[in-house]
Amino acid sequence: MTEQKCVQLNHERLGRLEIPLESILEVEGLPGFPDVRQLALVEHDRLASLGWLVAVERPDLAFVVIDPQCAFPSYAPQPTADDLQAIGAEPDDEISLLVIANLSVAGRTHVNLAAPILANPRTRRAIQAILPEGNHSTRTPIGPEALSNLAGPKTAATRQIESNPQR
Amino acid sequence: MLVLTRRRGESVRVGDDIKITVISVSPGKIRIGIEAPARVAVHREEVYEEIACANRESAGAGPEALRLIREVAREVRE
Repeated sequence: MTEQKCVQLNHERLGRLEIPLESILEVEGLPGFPDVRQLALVEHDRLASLGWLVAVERPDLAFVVIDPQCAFPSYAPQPTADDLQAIGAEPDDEISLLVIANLSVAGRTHVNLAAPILANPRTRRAIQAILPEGNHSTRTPIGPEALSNLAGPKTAATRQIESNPQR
Repeated sequence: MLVLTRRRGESVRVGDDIKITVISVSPGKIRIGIEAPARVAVHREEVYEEIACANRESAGAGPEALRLIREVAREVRE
């Protein structure tokens, strides 16, 4: 067993969090939050395809992020060479793709497909890529069926295997 | 705000590695070229502001957000 180095974070909204160092991403500019440089990816312990991006320097900030493949299977944004360079991507790197969900209006959930988060787990660098105009909306509605897919229990295919999905 | 007058083909240098060139000028609009390192993101202001606005709206998500998603999921399954 290797000892995992963690950062303790007392988050205003999410409570006490223990975040492994490898889950902390250096982010190069998050529009609207120029002071945010580090985001911690916190996976939900029971639900597939859902997690949080928690601002390490701003414990009042947290974004709900989803794996877009579950809800939008045809969504396949092409990162530009500049995007890839910004996260230090090399040909063999597996780049994570996440999109930010907006749950600010009760009963109407939107996701921002126009500006996905690209993260390189190897370099721990991330950016919010801004896709070419007109292809995707910052407020793409996500219906109940798709939400249900997201909120399904983790399966063996996801990174953490859920031993008791029925809680 | 620094205000400069430039002619077509002339440039402005921002720091050591950003160069902005006036490509063409026509009534009501100009075309500019921007040379910048990859780490410097360049976007039209209104595009950037739309993303910033979406981010600000999404930033305050607390535990209630996931509860909402779970409730929807339960309704769909039942």
